[in-house]
Amino acid sequence: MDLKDRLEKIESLKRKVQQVNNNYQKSSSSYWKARTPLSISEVITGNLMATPYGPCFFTEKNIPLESSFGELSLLDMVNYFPSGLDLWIPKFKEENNDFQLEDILFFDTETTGLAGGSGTYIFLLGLGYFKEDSFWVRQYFMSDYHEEEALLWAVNQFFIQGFKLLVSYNGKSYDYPLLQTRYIMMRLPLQLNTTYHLDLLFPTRRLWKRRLQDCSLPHIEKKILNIFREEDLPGYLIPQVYFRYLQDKDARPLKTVFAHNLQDIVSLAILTARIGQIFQDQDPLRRVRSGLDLFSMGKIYEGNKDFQYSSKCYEEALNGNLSEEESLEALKLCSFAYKRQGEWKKAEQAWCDLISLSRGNRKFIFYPYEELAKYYEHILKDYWQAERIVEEALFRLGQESIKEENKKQWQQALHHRLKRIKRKQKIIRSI
Amino acid sequence: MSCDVKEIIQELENDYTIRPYLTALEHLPAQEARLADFPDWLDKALVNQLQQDGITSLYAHQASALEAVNDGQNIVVVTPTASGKTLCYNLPVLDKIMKEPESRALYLFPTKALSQDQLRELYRLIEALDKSISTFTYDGDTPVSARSAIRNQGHIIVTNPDMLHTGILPHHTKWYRLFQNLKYVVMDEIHIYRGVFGSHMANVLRRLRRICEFYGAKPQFICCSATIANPLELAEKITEGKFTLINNNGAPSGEKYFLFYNPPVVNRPLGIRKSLIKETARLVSKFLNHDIQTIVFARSRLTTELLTSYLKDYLTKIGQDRDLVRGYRGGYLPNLRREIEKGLKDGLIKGVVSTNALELGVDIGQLDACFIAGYPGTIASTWQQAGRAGRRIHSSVAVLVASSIPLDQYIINSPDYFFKETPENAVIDANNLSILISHIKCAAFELPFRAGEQFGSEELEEILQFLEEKGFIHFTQHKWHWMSEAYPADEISLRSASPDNFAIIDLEKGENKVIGEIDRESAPTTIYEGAIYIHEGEQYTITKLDYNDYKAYAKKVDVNYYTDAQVESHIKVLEVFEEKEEENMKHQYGEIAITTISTRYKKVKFYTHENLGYGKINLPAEDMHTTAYWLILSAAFSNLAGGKISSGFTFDLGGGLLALSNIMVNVTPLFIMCDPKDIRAVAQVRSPFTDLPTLFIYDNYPGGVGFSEKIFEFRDKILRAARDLIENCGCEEGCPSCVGPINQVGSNGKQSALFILKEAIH
Repeated sequence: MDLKDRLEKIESLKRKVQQVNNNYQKSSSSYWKARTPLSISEVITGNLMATPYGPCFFTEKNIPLESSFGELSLLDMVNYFPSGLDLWIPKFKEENNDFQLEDILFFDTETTGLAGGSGTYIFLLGLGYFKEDSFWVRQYFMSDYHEEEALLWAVNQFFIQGFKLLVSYNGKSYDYPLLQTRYIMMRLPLQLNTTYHLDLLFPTRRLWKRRLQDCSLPHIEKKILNIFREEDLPGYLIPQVYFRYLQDKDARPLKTVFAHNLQDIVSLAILTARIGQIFQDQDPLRRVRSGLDLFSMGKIYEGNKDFQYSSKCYEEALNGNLSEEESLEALKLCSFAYKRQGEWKKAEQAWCDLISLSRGNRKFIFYPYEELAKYYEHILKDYWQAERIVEEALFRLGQESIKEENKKQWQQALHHRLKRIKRKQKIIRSI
Repeated sequence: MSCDVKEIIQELENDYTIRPYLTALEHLPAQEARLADFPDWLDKALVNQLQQDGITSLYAHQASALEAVNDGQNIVVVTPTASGKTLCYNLPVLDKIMKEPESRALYLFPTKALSQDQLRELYRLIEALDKSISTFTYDGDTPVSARSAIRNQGHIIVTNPDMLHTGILPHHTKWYRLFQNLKYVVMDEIHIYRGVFGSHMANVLRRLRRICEFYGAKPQFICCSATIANPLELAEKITEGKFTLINNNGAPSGEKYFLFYNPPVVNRPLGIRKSLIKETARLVSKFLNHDIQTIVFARSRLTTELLTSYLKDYLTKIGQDRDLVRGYRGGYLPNLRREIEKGLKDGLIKGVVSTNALELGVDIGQLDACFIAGYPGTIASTWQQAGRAGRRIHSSVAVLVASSIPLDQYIINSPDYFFKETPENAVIDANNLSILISHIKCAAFELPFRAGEQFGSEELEEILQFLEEKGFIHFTQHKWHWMSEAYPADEISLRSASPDNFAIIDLEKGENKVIGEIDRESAPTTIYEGAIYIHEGEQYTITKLDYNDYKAYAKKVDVNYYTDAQVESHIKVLEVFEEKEEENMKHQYGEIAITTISTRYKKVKFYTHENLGYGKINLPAEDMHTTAYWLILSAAFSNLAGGKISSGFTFDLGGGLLALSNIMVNVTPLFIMCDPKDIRAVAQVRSPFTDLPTLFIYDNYPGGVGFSEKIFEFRDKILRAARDLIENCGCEEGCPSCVGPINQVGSNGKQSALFILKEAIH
């Protein structure tokens, strides 16, 4: 029995892996039709760049600023950038008075898998940038593994032109570390010396995760940007397309991969513009209709200690379509935002509303009572009001079914407070 | 005030319920320390600190280890428990880092608990030195947020083989600081790396060396092993380098007694002995009564719990605090473990019952007495467990209590075998094709293979071409690159014998309640539909076997029978590698293809072994290519079959071969370190291949991992051990402690097996 037969035998044990691979191939069989192979330059218009490691294929496309994608166009980058950027990169505006759109580099890669690690390769690397009143997308491609050095060298030549801000989608944990890995593997220097990296995944999640759950870029395009890709290749098929190409050297199916990557880059710019639009200083609320999104914006402002805007967002959110639970949460956050601003009257109103809401659905919440009591006792120094609200809280605690542990703790706190209030009342009467 | 162990040994010897069952009472005299000076090249701050800690000189073996490492050699240190092994690696490593602060070291421990404890001492030493040397544990529990700092700053990275395999090597670019500056790889307890695990480990280290080479590093290996017959061979096979053996133990030890106790037989014809658990509890309680701090090792969690509760009950009976005895095993939470460890060190706990969790490294100080309830499977483990008792000055005692399984019975009746030599060989086969190919995939993922590169087997290029055909890798310009989305390390578990396990699911507890796992090879004989599967003493019946998804569904039942699958095996010999012809028989070793099919099962009533009926098994045949040793008997044996032998019994060839196959599988682990389930035997009265009565013993792992080769090599010793075990067994016609139960091997099976063995041994 020769080695090959033995290997075949062992391999049959691993049919699980094979099955997965087969499924991929089956589901995408339309891509694999036998025909005379065409090389990459016959399919994509591009150039070869000479490098010390051999030629590297790249292509460059100009996209006029006026072209619209969904509801926005690239001109909106000009209109809105860098509004709201300080929320994600603290002090960005302060440190970058002379910042220009030309300083931004948009960046996305197509790879041989999502597993990460040193066996995952970047075979197509797309870069977007503004130059001379236009938007450009440049794509570097390796037509086989041995061209990787050339690709990395060429890309680095572009990087060292100098950019200040890198924009990606999930690039902080995926694309960028992978890029570093590739340069280490090839022992080449990586000179991408951008000061800042805006990974749009983070603002996107904070803004829309509450409403959409799925924050993948295609989903965000559809739901937020109103961009609908035609004939797009699903991302998970991309490695298979490339592997197939490595074997049959027919570049035709790669056309869709280049298109996919190009759209990704454009979407990065449009998404940056959209987020800028939402946080545009003059009018933070007008362009957002969903209550949940307003709620999310409130949280973002709050995280930035901007309580004036956060309360404004919560107020608007409460006018939107929130569930009962969401409303209670928004109102709570709103009340604390008022408190932080010293808007006591508004805060008092919010706590009173919360109490009557909770009475309505018979779910006891403790903090509005406590906050009101503190407000009456320490701010207004109205001990009579304070006593009244503590008594009410104690009465309701006695009535409602609450976890015994909490109940005891709250009762204790209330009695303690009541005693102190009464002592203060006495002092006042005695004066 | 505790009495001296000598007094209690006296007491045991005078006890008529104990003395007749002591099969050995060995006295191991005290050993004086043999000391050596600190080498003058050792960093002075380090020496000062050691002196402040009361370590004024080294033991002989520590000094030898340091010299050899300083000389640039790879070393393997083999000395008993508590002989100061950790200094053998901590000192060279710390010295190097203090002299060249960029240096890095990688520590590999086979288990997580072990690494925790070995490190405590190192941490303390580093803290006292007041140098900025950072030591980090990197394993599955390391928080993601801390990982990047550890990768960049850690001087000493402590991890386990599994993490190295799945987490570090495939991401080596993130670890370039470690690999660029890697000076030492420290591997403790390397005797654990044997069989399938060891074969995987050797390949993980091939990958490690490949990556070190990429970053221009050539680390030295410092290994430690328990006492086995071939530590040097094992270290050299695992790392594929030259090694120096350090075994001149210079650590002092007090005198020690080692007792073997075989519980009395209660049913001679069936060979049934008194309960291991109850007998152990009875003996241990005498020690507790004398206030002697005692550790008890049990083989399973269940036994651990039972023994603990028996001993606690005893304490109640004599009016003492139940908490003086504690249990200790894997499932306990870390805090509880630490509390028990401390209690033992402080002497607040008088007795602890443990699984082998306490066998390795865990710091509990040294105790007065150690009980081993059931032979742990290897001599190396037995000495490690026994090493838990042993003061530097006072005398101590270890007691091995035998269960009725054949291995235990052999050991307990052959004290010379145990005390006189170290016959155990750790075996690996780093070029097992299935294992090799898995790691070649991982290696290709980590770094492209260059044409002409070496990786274990000479057949590398052929394997790479095969993987290319299968679409895993792609060849361009003299290099093979990984071409798959898969992350190959995730598909390989270093520890399980088979890549695929069947999960056994308790139907009543829902889809996710997995109660056990069965390796693929055993599935057709243990979890067919209708099988009774016993799990922690509970009976389950398998209601459905999902062969494609590797799941078996079980339901709890209460029946008075067990099931026994009838397996048909067809063996085809593919190639004979070696053979040895003798007068009446021939020994061969080579490669076989074995097809096993389970066709039906028997329902067998408990105790009476009545046959209650049959059920059908509908499973596909399983094919496996593996290596085997086989014994071919001459035609003379066939001619004797059915006839009377001079000594008066009727020679039963079938029963005799079956008996022989049972006993061979059970005694083989005495010589090669494997579990009885790692090998299988098939007896054929007339083999289609040899045309003669033949007994096959094969590696129960696709491709084989080297067991059969060693069985061929050690066949004489194994056959002798089988003969001794049969001769020393008191049963009449066979029992589970020797050749297997009568109803399986027949009433002449035992005698016939012995007859064959006597013919085979010269």
